[in-house]
Amino acid sequence: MATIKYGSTGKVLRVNLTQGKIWEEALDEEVIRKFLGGTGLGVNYLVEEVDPKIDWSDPRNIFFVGAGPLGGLRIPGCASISVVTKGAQTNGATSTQANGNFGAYLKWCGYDAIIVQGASPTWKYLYIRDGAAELRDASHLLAKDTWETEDAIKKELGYEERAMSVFSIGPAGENLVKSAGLFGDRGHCAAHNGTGAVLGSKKLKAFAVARGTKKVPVVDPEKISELARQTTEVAKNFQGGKVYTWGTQWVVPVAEAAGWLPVKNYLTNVFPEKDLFDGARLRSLFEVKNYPCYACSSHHRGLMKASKGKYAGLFIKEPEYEQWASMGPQIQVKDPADVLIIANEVDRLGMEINEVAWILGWVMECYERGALTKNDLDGLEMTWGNVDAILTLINHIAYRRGYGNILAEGVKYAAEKLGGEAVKWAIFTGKGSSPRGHDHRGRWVEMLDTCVSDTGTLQTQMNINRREVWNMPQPFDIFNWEHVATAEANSTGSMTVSDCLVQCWFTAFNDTPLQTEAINAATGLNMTLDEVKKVGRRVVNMMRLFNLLAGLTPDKEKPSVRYSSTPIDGPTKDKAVAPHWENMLAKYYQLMGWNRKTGMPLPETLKELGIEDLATKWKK
Amino acid sequence: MTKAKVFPAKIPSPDASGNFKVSVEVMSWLKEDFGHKSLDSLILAQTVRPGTSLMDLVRLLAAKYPRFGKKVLGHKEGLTEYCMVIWNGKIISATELDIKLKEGDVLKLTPAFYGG
Repeated sequence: MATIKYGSTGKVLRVNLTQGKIWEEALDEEVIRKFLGGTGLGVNYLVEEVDPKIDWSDPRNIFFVGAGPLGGLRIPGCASISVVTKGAQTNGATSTQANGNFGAYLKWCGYDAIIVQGASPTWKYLYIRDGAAELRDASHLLAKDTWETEDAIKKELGYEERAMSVFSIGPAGENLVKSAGLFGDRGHCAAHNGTGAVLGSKKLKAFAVARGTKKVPVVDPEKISELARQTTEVAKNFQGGKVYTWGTQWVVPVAEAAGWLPVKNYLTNVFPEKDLFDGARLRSLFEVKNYPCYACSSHHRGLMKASKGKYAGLFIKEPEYEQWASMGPQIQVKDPADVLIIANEVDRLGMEINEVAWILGWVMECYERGALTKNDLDGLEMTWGNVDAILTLINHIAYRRGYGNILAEGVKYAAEKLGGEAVKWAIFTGKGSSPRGHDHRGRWVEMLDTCVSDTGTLQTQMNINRREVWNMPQPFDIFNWEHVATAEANSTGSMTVSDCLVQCWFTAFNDTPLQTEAINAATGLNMTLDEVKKVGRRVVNMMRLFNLLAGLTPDKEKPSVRYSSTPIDGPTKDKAVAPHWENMLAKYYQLMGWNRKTGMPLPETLKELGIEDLATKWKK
Repeated sequence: MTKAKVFPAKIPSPDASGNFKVSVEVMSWLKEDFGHKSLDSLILAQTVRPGTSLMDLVRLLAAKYPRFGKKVLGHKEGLTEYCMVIWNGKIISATELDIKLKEGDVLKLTPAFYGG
């Protein structure tokens, strides 16, 4: 084994919570060549060390938090982290990323990643500083929300605001709520597939990493500087530079116009109040202070203060599009100020906002139709847009109070438990995961992606930046099932490369050739573009193998009845995806080199990706 | 609230040669391609000849607004991945761009956007 020397610290931090033991482990250069870092490295640990058949809450499950080979460098978007574990919502492989500073700070402390295993007998948090780490008592942090936890740990350890990065779980994670996530750096999150519940099962409240002082060695510092400049140019110019300037604040009206804004639990596609959510208006109502991630000059999300109205003085992270959409049109809250306070509460309680939105929308529809009554809901009148009732119910979910205890298991579980017609009103995938904050009936490629994903959330996202590199179909009709299946299959691996680098999508926009140059300038591995693309597809196929052994079957790769229903109004009226689903899935499997009946990658697929030994290992 | 800007305010009936006008709202960052930097809405009243298709209209706008033209026609990704066309409230797929326009048609051009 040769330890990786460049673009890496050469080490990971191992933590056994059962034994209270912490140690360092060297990182093999060949492992980095095969998996790059971040999601890839985490998935390698997952398949090497976790029996796919165990439950997500089993102490033998691992929780991986890692940076990538560009982490800690001046290339924008690379201070992020990827979390890999066996997740609570699907009980399968999970890969979810958070921006912020944690990834850079971790590498400056001397570690590429943290791998936590076991379960602590008492609540702890992990404190990391230059070349050292310790588990500390967290009993005094229990029931604190994610912002309070961040404040309390920084105060306790004596760090200023940006001298430390803290990611924690809120009350929802402590109570093993299936939609609980990991939150930090003032509102960033790696929240999909119940990462917070996994940490709750391990009794680990938080990760706190000081802004370390160690430099990450790279083979070509000048080239890295040049690539940092080029990546900033991509961020500034892609899609008109809109994300760079406005973050995702402009999306709601556009999504409504194009028919992919989630409105009233998919009962309609029309949201007359859309213009109230326009970015320019929002930023005129609230004071926004820039609060960038390390090395990023984008104005994507700042800290926001409500300067007028009923919530004057409220200080929160500027919501993303998905927060506006999920806590606005989806549940019919029409005043952005109300959306702000609800989204803020969900973040503080530590739950993934889209899943909460599907839960709330389903409850409200059940209430309207009489399938759930005030009596069932602990006295709450869950009418559309009832802000007070929404705030109460999300707390009930986070603390598993009353009917909130059932909802804490997720919308799929709650709908199936209630049974009858109500199952048809819930939005979920057969695997139990939640769609992102869109109406995918207007974005078939993302519906397919959500359903076939092995990460617990979107896995691929069609590559629209470097489509020639990923062989996108020409022409591309967004409502043609063959085009959609081809675009999804051909793009597979593209987003995964970004997740292995742990690079924010809003900087390089999956510009794989640019990323390949950066990998080589940082690590000196001299990888070709094809090798890098293959890393993405290798990691996807490894998660697939893991999930198949964890109980995944192809019949679970489908949207629920409501999720795949036909829109009755708006721009996508009558665009029916359901009749095409089986053909689309079959085409996708074929292009992926997977067996249609079992979902298993074919031997030649595994061989091409150099992971045929994995199937053999698990066969034993 | 942003104010709608309409050029001209009233869409006239077909002229002597049968030409007519359709309304085209340009949304979000696409407005900059049309030289419109204000945050206000941009709604164009575009004169077209009888028999003009949706794709013809896009070509016409592309010629009139070169920055838009360069991106929308020279774009390697194809029209509907740079810009979504919504025709009378209905989203148009790449294979439907041969639809013929008629007087009073209302179009929206929105940027295509993928991701969360």
